[in-house]
Amino acid sequence: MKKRLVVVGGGAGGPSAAAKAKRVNPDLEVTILEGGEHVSFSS
Amino acid sequence: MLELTTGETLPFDYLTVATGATPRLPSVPGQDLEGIFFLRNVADAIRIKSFIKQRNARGAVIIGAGLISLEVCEAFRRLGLETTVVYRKDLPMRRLGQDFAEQILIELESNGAKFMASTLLEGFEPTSSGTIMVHTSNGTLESDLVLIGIGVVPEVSLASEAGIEVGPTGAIAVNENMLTNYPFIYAAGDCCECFHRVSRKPVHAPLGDIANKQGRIAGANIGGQKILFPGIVGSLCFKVFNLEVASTGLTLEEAEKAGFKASSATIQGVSKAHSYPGSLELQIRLVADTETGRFLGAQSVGGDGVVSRINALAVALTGGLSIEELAYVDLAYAPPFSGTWDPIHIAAQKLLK
Repeated sequence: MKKRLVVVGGGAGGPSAAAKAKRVNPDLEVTILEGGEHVSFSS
Repeated sequence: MLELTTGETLPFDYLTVATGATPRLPSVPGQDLEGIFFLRNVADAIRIKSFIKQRNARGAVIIGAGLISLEVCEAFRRLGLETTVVYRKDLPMRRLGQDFAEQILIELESNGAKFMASTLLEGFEPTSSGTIMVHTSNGTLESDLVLIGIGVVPEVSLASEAGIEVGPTGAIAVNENMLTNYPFIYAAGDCCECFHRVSRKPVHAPLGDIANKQGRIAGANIGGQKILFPGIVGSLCFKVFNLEVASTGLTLEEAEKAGFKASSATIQGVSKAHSYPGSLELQIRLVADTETGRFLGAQSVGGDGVVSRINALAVALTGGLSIEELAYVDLAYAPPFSGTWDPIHIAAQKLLK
């Protein structure tokens, strides 16, 4: 079964972590949660 | 397992906490009034701009005089707003020292902004015409809108609830892999601490560039690539009107507080060769450990060439250079960019004396 990464927060650090984890291990299942209206506005 | 506001639960093998930071609240009466804003994200910026447009706003009050407040001050003046900055200390960006802070004050005032020094915020009240009365220890101001920029606090409520350890700064404690006290939970960005390579202490440095690096390191480790975040040296820069401001490492005061026996030298230099057109004044202060000669920090203000110098000095700090090494370091030279002796050399030579 695929390993699951959940990232809480879609500002700067969150999307950076999600993207790098997926690049290093493409088999990861990655979910980003963001409470606001915009994602990755400072990455 | 994460519980979501939608009622769902989300299982995970790895978690990254990147909950950011939230604006510090002044805790005064009336702070929830319409027309009082914080600037933290794109949505806030859109709200502020549309409020100014809809209300045809003429005047604004800014509470605080840090990076966000001063950048917004410039933006408000460019929109033609009468802008008053209210600050509890005597000068803006006081950390950089009285002389540099005075330059920032001159820059604010020469661009039409008002600065209320040593003034405490006491509260807000609405008026019947839709404006806001801003009560301070130095009288009441009437304004169309208010921006509060008095800093941020790390958003750690979710982390704390989950038993994730918070460090001495109030932000999430992480190791060099960005791992928290749980072996499968990482943290990155403004919600967590970072290691300051000069003071050798954890600090809370909520800046976007650091967040990106920490996030990438966390992601690499989660993906299976075990790399380390080496920490920060405390670099920052901003522009206010036509003044560039930057610093890296420790100020003299911070160095002494961190336990160093420190000294500093400040010089007035120019950004390009004296003879070259467009050369502007800049000032640099270098701080060093008096006992070992180790370079500990630098601050600079000026019209041009400030950030490039501070960036070079950030690398010097990272490499642990001494003032003696800085005094003769091989910087690139040509008249459009510096004199044969760069302000960095001149300041280091002065500190050696």
